[in-house]
Amino acid sequence: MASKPKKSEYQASEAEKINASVANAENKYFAEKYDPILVEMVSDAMSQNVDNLLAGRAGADTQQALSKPSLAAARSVDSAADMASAAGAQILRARVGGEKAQKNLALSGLAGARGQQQDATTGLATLARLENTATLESAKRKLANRQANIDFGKELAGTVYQTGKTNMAAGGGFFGQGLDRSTGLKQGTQVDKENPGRGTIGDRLMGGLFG
Amino acid sequence: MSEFNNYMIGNLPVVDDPEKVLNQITTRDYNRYIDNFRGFEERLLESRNSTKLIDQAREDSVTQTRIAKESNARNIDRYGGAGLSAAQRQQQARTFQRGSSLATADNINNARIAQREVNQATMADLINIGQGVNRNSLGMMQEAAGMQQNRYQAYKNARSNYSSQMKGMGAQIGSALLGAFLI
Repeated sequence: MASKPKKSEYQASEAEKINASVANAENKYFAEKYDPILVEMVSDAMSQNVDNLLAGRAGADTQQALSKPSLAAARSVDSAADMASAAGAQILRARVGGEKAQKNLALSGLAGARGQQQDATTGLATLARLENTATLESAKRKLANRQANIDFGKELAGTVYQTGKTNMAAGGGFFGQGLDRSTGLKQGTQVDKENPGRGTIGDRLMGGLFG
Repeated sequence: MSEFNNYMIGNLPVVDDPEKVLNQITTRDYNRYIDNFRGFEERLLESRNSTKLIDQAREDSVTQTRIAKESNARNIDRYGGAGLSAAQRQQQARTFQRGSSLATADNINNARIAQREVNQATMADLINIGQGVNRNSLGMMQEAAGMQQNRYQAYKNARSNYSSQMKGMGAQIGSALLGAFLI
């Protein structure tokens, strides 16, 4: 018969321990160093006014190009309107560029954050799976134990019944009332060839264990 | 000794219960996502209907019209009136007014087109992200449902086995009793 299982035989191997340590340390490092970058990126995407910066630059460029002192411009009937139109168009172009850049940054940040969140939920699902497997295994173990208990009870009941029957056949009660405990014969009956009896308790025990 | 010695294998903290640590990490990560990014996500979702460029174009047009007007006035002053007659100045003012009104309208219309383009691109990206969110959540729910089904089946099997065992035992005891009293 195999020996009782020892908990120590089911401990994690050295490689498994290292694997867990490295994974934990890497995750900690990620949380400390990389995660804040994503938070920073997202926070920048929402707070920075890139379009204002670019619009200011576009406005200044337009003024530099078109507002030089000029007699022809002063006399022109439409140079001021052209200047307003050009500046407006340039600034709009800058704002659109800024808005697109900011949205791209924000969406990349959200995609990164969502990816990270999905990794977290996948991890939680893995955990749930592990726990579910443990629950099922535990149920299986309980079932096997219950089966063993029932088999044990059946075996015991069978032996009691058989012994009781033998006791009654020998003229005693079901539980051996009126019989000699060592021979299994009715009290006062001598052991001889015709009535060999069942042997001593020791004989019967050894016979039961080793056939 | 390297400044990163703490990160070497052998110096790393021992993980006694990986399942517990995984639970802590994933729970922390999910909570951190909610804390750091959920508000941002909500604002980004709302921004698909943004009118920022259009509103800004209106403001910018007013400002640029004012700047052009002032710049032109300074230019004329610089040249001592630039030899313009009153009629010419009046015509210049009218042209400026008409030109700047048209430029404002043009700018706002262009801003509308650009805004629509930006909003649609944002929406397309958000839809992509949303599809991933949906796929992930459905996957998790399927797993949860599958696990529940497994547990239910295991419970039913256990009950069925138990019932068979009890019937088997009853049959054995019954036949033994019949054997004892009938034979």
